[in-house]
Amino acid sequence: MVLCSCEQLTYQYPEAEQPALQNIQVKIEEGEFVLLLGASGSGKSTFLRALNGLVPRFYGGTISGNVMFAGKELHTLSQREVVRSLALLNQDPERQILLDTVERELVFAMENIGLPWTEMRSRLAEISHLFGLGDWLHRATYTLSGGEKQRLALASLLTLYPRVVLLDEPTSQLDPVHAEAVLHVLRRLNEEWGLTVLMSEHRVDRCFHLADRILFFDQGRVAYDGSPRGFIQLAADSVPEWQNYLPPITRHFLKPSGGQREHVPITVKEARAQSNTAEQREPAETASTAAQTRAPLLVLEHGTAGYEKGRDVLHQLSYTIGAGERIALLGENGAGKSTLAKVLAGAVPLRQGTLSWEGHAIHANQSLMHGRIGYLSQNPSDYFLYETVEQELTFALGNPGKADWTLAALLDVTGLSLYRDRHPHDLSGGERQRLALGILLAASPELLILDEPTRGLDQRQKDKLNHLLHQLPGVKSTVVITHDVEFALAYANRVTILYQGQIASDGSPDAVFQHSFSFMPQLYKWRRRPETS
Amino acid sequence: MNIGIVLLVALLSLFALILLVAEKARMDEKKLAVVATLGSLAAIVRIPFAVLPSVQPSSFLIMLSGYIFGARAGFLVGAITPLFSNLFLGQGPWTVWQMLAWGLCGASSGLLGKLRKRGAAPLLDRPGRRWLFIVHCTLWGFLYGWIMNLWIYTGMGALANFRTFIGLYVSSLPFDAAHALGNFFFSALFAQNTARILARYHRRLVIARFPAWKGGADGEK
Amino acid sequence: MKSEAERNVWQIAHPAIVVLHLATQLLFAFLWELHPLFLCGQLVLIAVWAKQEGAFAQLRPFFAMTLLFGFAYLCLNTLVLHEGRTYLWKGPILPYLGRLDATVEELSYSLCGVIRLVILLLVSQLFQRLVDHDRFFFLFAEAAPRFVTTALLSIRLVPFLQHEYRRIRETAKLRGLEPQRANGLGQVRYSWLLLRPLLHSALEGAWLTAETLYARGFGSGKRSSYQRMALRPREKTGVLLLLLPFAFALYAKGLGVGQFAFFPLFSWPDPLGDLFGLGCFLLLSIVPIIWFRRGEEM
Repeated sequence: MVLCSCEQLTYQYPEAEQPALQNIQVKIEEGEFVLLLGASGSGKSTFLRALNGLVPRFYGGTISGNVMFAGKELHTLSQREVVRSLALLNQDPERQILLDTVERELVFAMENIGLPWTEMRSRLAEISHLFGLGDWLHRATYTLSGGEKQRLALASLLTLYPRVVLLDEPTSQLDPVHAEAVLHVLRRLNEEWGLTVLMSEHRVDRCFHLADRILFFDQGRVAYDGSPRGFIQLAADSVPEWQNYLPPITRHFLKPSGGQREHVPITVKEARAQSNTAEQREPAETASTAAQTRAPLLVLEHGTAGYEKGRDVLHQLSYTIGAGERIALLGENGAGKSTLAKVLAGAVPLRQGTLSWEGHAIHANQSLMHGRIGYLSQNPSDYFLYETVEQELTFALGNPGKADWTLAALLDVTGLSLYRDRHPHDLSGGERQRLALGILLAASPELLILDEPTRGLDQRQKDKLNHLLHQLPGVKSTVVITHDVEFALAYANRVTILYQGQIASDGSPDAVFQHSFSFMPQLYKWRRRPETS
Repeated sequence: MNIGIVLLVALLSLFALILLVAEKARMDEKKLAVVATLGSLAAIVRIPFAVLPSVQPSSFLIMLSGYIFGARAGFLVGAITPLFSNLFLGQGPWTVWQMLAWGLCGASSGLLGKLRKRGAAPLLDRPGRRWLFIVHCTLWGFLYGWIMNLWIYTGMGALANFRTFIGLYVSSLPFDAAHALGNFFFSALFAQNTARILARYHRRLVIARFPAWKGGADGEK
Repeated sequence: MKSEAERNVWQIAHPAIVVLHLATQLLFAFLWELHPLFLCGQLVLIAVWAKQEGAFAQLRPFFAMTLLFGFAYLCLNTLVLHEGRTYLWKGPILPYLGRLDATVEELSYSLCGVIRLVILLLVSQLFQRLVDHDRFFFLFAEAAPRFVTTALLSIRLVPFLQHEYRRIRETAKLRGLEPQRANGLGQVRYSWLLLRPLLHSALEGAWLTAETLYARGFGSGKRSSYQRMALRPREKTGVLLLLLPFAFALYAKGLGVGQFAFFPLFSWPDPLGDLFGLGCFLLLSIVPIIWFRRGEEM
């Protein structure tokens, strides 16, 4: 049966110039797993919120057209009825946890809808069993990691036993392990319990194969509504831009030299089944160049550092960054990537070991570092202290640093010339990142370190960032901390994997990825030959 | 009986009354989320000033919240602020009095905010409004201390005498003056810029208030 | 929330009961007016109880401050009151306040006031120690659910926002914005400058929090409660036992026990009777406390 449907749905945010949704006409059947694709700002989030009534109830604005749930118009349903049928999960785990202990968080929703105590007890047992939360019940939510919080948020929503789960980029802030856990739960909920799932996602490499249906959004309209195979077909034949939204393995097979076109694989397994012959698995062309000895820029020797007394995060780590390197720093959560980056930038003091820049030792007085090293943290909004983009950049230029940049040049390289009078907090996520980058560039750094810059970016934005990192004037080397191995493959000419505060693997992307197991882009997984020894 | 007790009971009843009114008023979730956030911030800025007796930027922040988001919001922000540090850092027996004093503080600022024209942005850009706010903050430095003093007054069981009242307030003068001075400095230095930030988010709440349905047979909601 | 092992016997009990115990002690402090003997007796009782519960550990910070304040008030009160006969000092006559003087009677009256202040402080210290604040707070969840939820939201946000602030501070430090000299005003301005991004980030996040509240059905109607606080029979008996000293006090007051006047001169009609009354009263007061504490062994 048709569960959710929209007829000629048009919506415009208050004080927006363009409608966010235009003439949407969609029917969602019960039990479908629908994947929403499209560029940032194309209307996916707005669509999800229109389905559960947040738009326009929460946001104001003007709406026309119909949104129906199970045959009834959505606005005739009470909040309680809506919430018990449609659950919405956002991308930021921190702000979706409301209370201080896990148990309280789980029962909060059930209390809100006034369930009797016995019913609450029973549902708590069920959801706790499904998610394996039994040990956690008395933990303080503050001690949970981001991924654990997101799982808890999902569990809390499911206590309402909804029929539809709406997810707005649920895994974009998570590390791969927790992302897989969330997707796994969603797949089970859909396959075994028949929950209808609508999910918008940028990292399609891990969820494209789960979809029964694709909805592609383009500037507020649904440009494609149909099966995944049909989408791939159209992407291959008519609309090449859509290939940005396909998994890397599929994209590879769509390339003219890539192999058969009749049945394009969407998973690595399918790819392997098709091309088992060794000739078809050619070695990859990567962005790496032959390893050259490069002039050392920043040298860390036997560095030990940590945050708490008695606990070291980095253990006797020696690391050299040379000029002309584009390094991707990988590793699981807690391996020490951020710590290493902060040590190199001078934010975290070394307990043992030395740090030297172009041969000169750097001591506790880190005032030399800001001119040389720029560090972009995970939240670009941390950099905004003023009211317009122009003011921010002017202030950044005014700080002690080499005056290599002018305001106009900075605006140009970050692509923000049109936005010079905007309030920084009115910018979108990608634009904020570019502004923060501009602020850092104003100090003319020679080494740039970026901490997880690709979270939440769509493919086009990632390509733009990649392009930008390849041609930053004045910057000799860049280090990117990321979980996204596909991005690392495209951008880096050196990959370092950290484990437990020490280097586990370090070399050209090809070398590292070929011998890796879990840090492998899809193409390498496909090409992998088991070790024969 | 002790007039101190009478006063305290009266004030507590007032507190309970306002709380229940705020409860029944059904503030929407967006405002409650903002109130909770501002309450946390006010609790956080207290911590580094714990060493200086009476000087706290929290009072200023609470009053600004009330001025911009309204009396009910201001009251709730004030009432929530002492909870974290008092519950977790065990700072003392006067939690309820602080909730009361800060709550009234925030609520009165909300009333001050009503003086502006309907629909105008609640900014402090005009010098007239700014100084009104600064004076209001300074006065509350004293008022706050006087409400807190009632606690001590009851305990000491003074004879119901206006002179003893005066004695009480004279003895707390240095603390209250410090508080008022702190409020003065915070509001003079930071009120304008902070108000602009808070007003931005207030504006978002305002424009989200009235969704419109166009066309269709749906009608108003 | 504390783990089971950390909680003492009082915190496991229903918070309302514990509050009732403490409230009766407050009541007693006022019941006897400012009778020096009874106040001292009660002070000893509470002090011993507090020591037993280990409530003296966190005493110093505000205790000293309040005591200081109390003594300041004591002096001022003495000067301003015009009762008593035994003059220690006669001061000048001020326009509104009259003559400043100090008599022994005034001094001892105010001193008793300080003793009562100490009792109140100790009771509140016991409150900090004996009541499980979490569960106490939940008692009000029925009456004011929106307020309680908002307060809990706020409590949950504090460590998170502190973390955000630290991160913002670190970013600013890496940008080279931190003022080098330990200049007082400069540091304050710098800290406030850093509060701007924190304010923005916190308020932007408030919108997401609100969406989550909506998605979890907050405000959709009448709530139920998962927290269940059982009232054990032992606790009920404890409450009944509280009535003993209370009844005795009323009875004794009716008989004329506990009369003491400060002004115009000290007058204590029945010292021995009062002593006897105090003894009985203290014994009866201890009973419910011991009854409750013995729950630990069960």
